[in-house]
Amino acid sequence: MRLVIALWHKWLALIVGIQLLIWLGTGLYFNSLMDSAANITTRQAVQHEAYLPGIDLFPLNQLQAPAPIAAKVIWVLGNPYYALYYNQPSHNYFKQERLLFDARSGKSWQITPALVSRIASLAYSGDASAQQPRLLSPPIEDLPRQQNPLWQVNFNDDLHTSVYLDALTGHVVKYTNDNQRFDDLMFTLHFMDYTGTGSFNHWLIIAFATMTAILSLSGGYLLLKRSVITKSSKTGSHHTLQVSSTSSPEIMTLTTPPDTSIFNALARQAIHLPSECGGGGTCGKCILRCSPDAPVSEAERFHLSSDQLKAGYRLGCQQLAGDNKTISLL
Amino acid sequence: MIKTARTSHKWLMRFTGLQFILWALTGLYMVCMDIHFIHGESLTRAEAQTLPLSDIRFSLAELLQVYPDASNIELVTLLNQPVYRFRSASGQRRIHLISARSGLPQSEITANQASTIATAAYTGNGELVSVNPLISRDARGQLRPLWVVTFSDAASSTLYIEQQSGRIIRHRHNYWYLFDWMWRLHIMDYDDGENVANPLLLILSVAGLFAALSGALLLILRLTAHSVRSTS
Ligand code: FES
Repeated sequence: MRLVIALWHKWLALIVGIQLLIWLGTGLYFNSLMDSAANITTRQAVQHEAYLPGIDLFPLNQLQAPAPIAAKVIWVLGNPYYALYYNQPSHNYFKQERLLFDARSGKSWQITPALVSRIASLAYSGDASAQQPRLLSPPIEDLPRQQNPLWQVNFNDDLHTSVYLDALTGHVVKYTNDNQRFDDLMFTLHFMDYTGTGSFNHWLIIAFATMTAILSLSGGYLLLKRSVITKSSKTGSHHTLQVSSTSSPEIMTLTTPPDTSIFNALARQAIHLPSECGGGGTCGKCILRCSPDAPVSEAERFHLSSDQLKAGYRLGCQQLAGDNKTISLL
Repeated sequence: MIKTARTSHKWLMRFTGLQFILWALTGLYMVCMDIHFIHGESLTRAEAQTLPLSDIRFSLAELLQVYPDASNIELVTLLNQPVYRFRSASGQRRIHLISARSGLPQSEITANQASTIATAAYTGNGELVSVNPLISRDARGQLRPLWVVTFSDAASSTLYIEQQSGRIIRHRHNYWYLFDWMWRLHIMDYDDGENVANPLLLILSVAGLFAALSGALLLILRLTAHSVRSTS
């Protein structure tokens, strides 16, 4: 059981390892380095609203338009407009169905590029010049969730500031610049949104999160198992172990706490048993010879044949020094 | 080398392992649950009653004669009739409702009207359980009285209706509360879940990063290692 879990732990770590480090790294970034409030210092509120009484308004009930769900009086640079809504998306970035009319004439209306430029420069407090507005349709690279067309006005500053404005009204929807784009990249990495869905509910991250949950739970199991082995063993003062070796006639005597593994006890004397797992019981390389009645662990039963076990072969990392009196290295 | 990697992985994980499990499980919950579902967007129907413009018999011009300081003016259907909804600067930006048919001011939403609005919008299969008043604050910090309408479905779906406007301003259900707790556990901010920049998270993520790096080192060593034997 423990071995199977250790194997799973290793292979899962191989699959999710890099993303796990990305999660931790970006998480640390969100925790201590990100300061989204300071990203864009050149934003500035635009005053659109003016005084309505005194304006000769076109009667709403004479508009040439299908019955909407709702209507609103909106303002663009001091002029009133009627906005008619034909759906009620729960977020503004969802597809919006609207019609816009001039509230004085009752004629259908839409912002012009020249007005977009004006609003964008009013919305920007820096002194860099602006480029021509461009009407973009989704997908928009800076705003992956956005489902509506937007005007983009780029400013020639060091941070490559872009202002995004509503396609119909010219109201500012979003600012971004290189500071903000860097934060967005960190979120893309944390949410594994490599296909640009703008969301964290997608199959790739669900698959990785599932594997990571198994990885961490299996790690917890292994850690618990290992602490139990160490704790349940008898804790005495010291224990002596006779170590012989097939390659030399000398016999060495070694004193060690009884609850250390032979693998570790030998390592402390600079005798390194062969190993690929560092004493984890998974590689099966740290073979040595104990007495045939030494306890047999699950890992030993897995890696050694019953003949070997009968002959006293064991794994150094599975044997506690306290359970053995003499061992011989191969 | 491999032994050092093993020991440090083990010890660092003793310290951070529990949080790793929490990060993984809470993260798993959050990515599996559609965020729009969590926000309760599916609790109310998206389609709404249309508003025939010819129904408007009280014009905007007439409205402005009575409320010259009206702002944020909108026209919506509320309880089967077209109403103007707006804020007035003089009335501490309070929200007014005026019938667009008669021009008569509508009183604040009553408990009965709130249950009518909530049941008409509700898409679930539960029954209405209770309607309770609640005073909360809006984004500007102003007091705003609400009706809390609860339904008997498995998720205890609850709609919050603003008394001044009749709008449904909040959707809640058990999955939302659970999500909120998952979030708090994920960012290790247990009181209100608003502070990602907390020192506890900093300590655990730095230690966690080392724990994971030691694991990565261990993995690399194990995948590349060939049996080394050196006896001194
Ligand atoms: S060291 Fe790998 S099994 Fe003992």
